[in-house]
Order: sequence, then C-alpha cells, then structure tokens
Amino acid sequence: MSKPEVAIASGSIKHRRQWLVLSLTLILAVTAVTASIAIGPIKMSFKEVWQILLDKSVEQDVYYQIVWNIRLPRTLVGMLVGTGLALSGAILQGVMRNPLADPHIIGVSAGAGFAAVAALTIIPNFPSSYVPLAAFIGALTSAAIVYGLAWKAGVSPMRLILAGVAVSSLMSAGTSGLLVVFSENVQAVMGWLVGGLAGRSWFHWHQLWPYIAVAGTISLFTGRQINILLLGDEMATGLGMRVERIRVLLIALASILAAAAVSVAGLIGFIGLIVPHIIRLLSGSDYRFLLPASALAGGSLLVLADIGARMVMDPIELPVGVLTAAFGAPFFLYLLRRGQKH
Amino acid sequence: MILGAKNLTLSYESSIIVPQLNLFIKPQEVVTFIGPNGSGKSTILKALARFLKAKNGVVYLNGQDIQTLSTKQVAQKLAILPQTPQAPADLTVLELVSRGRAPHLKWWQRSSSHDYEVINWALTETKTMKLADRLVGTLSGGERQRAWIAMALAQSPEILLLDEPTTYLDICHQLEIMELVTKLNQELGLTVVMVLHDINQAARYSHRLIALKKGQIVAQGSPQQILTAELLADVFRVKAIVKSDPESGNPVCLPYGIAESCSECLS
Repeated sequence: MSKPEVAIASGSIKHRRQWLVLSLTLILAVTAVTASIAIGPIKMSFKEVWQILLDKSVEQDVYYQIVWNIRLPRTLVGMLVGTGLALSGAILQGVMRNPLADPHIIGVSAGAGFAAVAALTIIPNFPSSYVPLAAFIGALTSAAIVYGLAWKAGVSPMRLILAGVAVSSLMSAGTSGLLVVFSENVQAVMGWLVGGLAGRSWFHWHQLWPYIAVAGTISLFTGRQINILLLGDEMATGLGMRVERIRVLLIALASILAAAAVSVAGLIGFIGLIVPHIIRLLSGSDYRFLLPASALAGGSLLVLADIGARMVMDPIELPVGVLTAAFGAPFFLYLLRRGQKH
Repeated sequence: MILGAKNLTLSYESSIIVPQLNLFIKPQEVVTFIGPNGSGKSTILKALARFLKAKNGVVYLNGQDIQTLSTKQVAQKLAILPQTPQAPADLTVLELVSRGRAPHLKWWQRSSSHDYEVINWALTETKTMKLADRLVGTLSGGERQRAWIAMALAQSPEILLLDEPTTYLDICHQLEIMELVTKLNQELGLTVVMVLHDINQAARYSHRLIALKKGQIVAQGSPQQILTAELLADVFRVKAIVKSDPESGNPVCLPYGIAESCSECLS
C-alpha cells in the first residue's frame, strides 16, 4: 500500500490550491517587474521592455539607457527589498507563533533607523553611500541585543516579543532625540527614515543581493522545520527537533533579510506583516509553500506600490510605504472578512 | 528497564518540585502517576520526556542518559502527548499525523512509501482514517485526542507518555481513549506512562500505580495492592470507600468527604 486513499483526495485539493497560488505569485512578479520598467514619464510597451532587456545591440538608444540605468536597478532593488521583508515576516510569525510578529518586532527596523540617524547626524560629513552599511550593522546589533535580553535558559517567543518592543522603543526614543538635538541635519535623514526606492541604483543592488540571495535561499529550505515548530516547543522537541538551535538560526535569517532590506530602502512598514497573512489566507499555513509564495508576493507588492508612488502625484514621489498600505490593507481586510464567513 | 530515573531532583527556577525520585519502568508496562494538583506528576513526565533538565540525577532511556542522546534519537523511541497540544487552524488530520514521521526523516528527505505505510497504519489503529481529510480544529475533543495519539504512533515509538489524556472529554470518550491505550499496549507492546486524575480509571487500566505527594512517591504497586482508604486520605485528603469492582476485580473508590487531615494541609 502506498499513500492512504484519503490522502490522495485531500492532498490534491489542498495541493492544487497551493501550487496555483505559487504560480500566480510568480506571474504577478514577472508582471510587476515588467510594468515597473514600462511605466514612467516615458512610456513603453511590455514588448519593448523585453526587447530592450534581451537585446543588447541597441545600447545607444535612450530607451536602453532609461531601462538599464534607471528603471531596472530600481525595480530589482524593490523586488529584493519586498522579498526580504516578506520572508522575514513570514519566518518570524512562524517562530513566534504570533500573527502580529514582523521585522519590527525583533528591533531590526528601530536599530537600523537609530544607527543611520546617528551616523548622519553625529558624524560630520558622513558619506551617504555608507548609510546602508551603518543601518545594516545597527539592525543586526539591535536584533542580537533583543535575542540576548530574551535569553534565559532558552528563548520563549513571548520574552522575545517583549524584549523587542522594549529595545525598539529605546532605539526610537534615541532616534527622536538625535533628530531634535541635531535638527539642522533632519532633512538629510528624513528621506531615508520615511523609506522608499527613489534613486536606488545598481550600487544598492550590489549591496543588497548577496544577503538576500544567501539568507533567502536558506530560508526557503526551512519550511518543514517551521511547520513542526508551529506545533509548539514541547511537541517540536518531542518530534526530535533541536528547537533552540533551529530558532536561533531562523531568527538570524529573518534578521539578516530584514536588515539588508531596510538598510537599502529605509523603514518600509506593512510588507513584512501583511504579505505572509495574505498568502496564508489564500493557500494555508504550510510553510513549504508560504515561504516561496510570500517571497514572490512581497517583492511584487513593493514594486507595484513603487509604480504608484512614482505616478500618482507625478512629478512628486510619494513614500512607497503609503502605497503599500493603500494597496494591501483593503485587500487584506477583504480576505479577513471573507475568511470569517466559513 | 526501558525508562527510569535515578536520584532525580527537579525544580523550576529555585523552587524544588521533586526532591529525589527513583523510578523503574519495565517494557510493555502501563504505569500511571496519581496525586493531587502540585504533586509533581506532570513535572516528572516532562523530565522523562527530556523537556525538563534535571537539577540533579539522571533519566535513563534503554540504559542511556537521556540528555546525552540526541533529541532525534529519543524521538524515535519515545513519543509524548502534552496536556494541551496546539496546531495551526488549517492543518488536516493527515498532515498532523504525517508530522509524526519527522524524527525518521533527514531534513532533505521526502516521505517514502514506508512513511505512508506507517501513517496509514497509525490512522487505522486509532480509527481516524475517516477523519484524515478533516481540519484538526474542527474535530470534537475525543476525535482530536485520537488524532494526536495517531501522530504519536506515527513516530513508531516504544514508549508513549500521556499527560492527562482524558481531561476535557465526556465519559464515553474518556473510556474510548483508555481502551485505545490498552489496545496499543496489548497488541503492539507499547510501554505507556501517563498522568491521570481519575483514580478509578487509573486503577482499571494500569498495571502499576505510582501515588505522589509533594514530589515524592508515597506508594506504588498494582492497584489492588496500594489503593486503600488510608492512601486516599493521605495523598488526596479525602474520605473514601474502596471496594472491589465485581466486573474486573479492580479496586474502585467512592470519595464521600474531605478528610480531617486536610485542615492541617491548608494551614
């Protein structure tokens, strides 16, 4: 006998749905990237976009310059940032077994913000190209402090959340303090604090992709572990998992993903919290599907929001966080209401 | 001895729950801890399941210190069902039971046909096959408990630890779980160690009872040997009539009042 007969029936319905959602997020990602390159003050068709991307013989062309030097890097950075935030949020929600967990909860955002603001305000003539590095270090340091404070013969999710809230508040207070004391530098800092993809280039891409590629790839293989962790610490131990070791690995992955994302794009909220929920409502809590689908959807949502941020009040750019909320919140609420009926 | 403890001291933070415990559990035995709230029953079970590190002393699994074995090795021998296990709302029974194969899989391995055979068998043994497609969250209490036992069985363990498996169930479902445990013990030779609140069920379905008071063993032995009115007054602080069940010959007790010694305990 192979699979139980009922297994095949149940497997097929649920599985088909999971693969469908995963395929849709992939299509969404390709569409979002193409649209983001096509749409702008100078418009192109989707066909032209792919011709320019695939054909290098037209290098002199102004369209070629717009695509390769401006829109493609910005779009790809947006894709990576969204992917990093969504993966980080999905992992943390699983590790903490808490639907409200997101990259902010482990102090990553506040730490990045504090380090960036401190560097820009305290150090005279701090080169802005080093801001991502400062933010990245600040983010990881902050996450490490939170983990260290939560440690007491092991880390319980509840202590982790409380330590995260405390450290984040402290860091935010520090950030506010710095902004008041060094108010003459606020302008330089504000753009980064609000977050966005304006002016993001290959420079940022090169800073970002190694972290997202490595941490993202590893995290895609953790789905089964998180599935076990969702049964509770004791049950996971009972099933032979080294809970503490897996948890610290997962938190480290989530921290690196979120730290890399916010260091390049600033404090973009919402994606890390909402995207995993949207995927969960669509295809269930099986992390083997939730992780890749969230990664694709997170990137897509941010890139789509960025198109809006550029175009809605053209020529003024809106902060992309405003748009991610405007896109995602209603959709999320719709799914929530629909889900309650069953 | 398949499972045991030597000079075991258990504590949470600085408060000592179990001062010193020696324990021997034989293969294929059904052993039940009884005792009032706070007597250390669940704490001992947690230590036997390696969840709780001993302050002093050692827990032995097949003669080896359980803390020196990898948690995965332990999971292949020993399965535990905590008091209130949790599961994601959209998990099906089949998916839940499949999780029980985790200790036998490396992280890159997919379930083999052997794994599906074991899952199939666990579903059949616990009569949860027809529930395989249902969501764990929508099951009744008795069905859910059987599904969790099926998951524990999918681990193909030699020892099953159960922490109050019948709490929150109506009487029929309580007996259903106890009958299932008995069947698993008799047909598969599973060693069962559990905590029960119902003394009569403990007496009916166990080879050996271990009565605990303040973390110490007050009496242990077959239900006929140890279940007396004196023991119930001492351990549970109740006055009770103890009779022999005409059906099975097991002792049954009928508590009818609070023992006088209770006032001492309260003060």
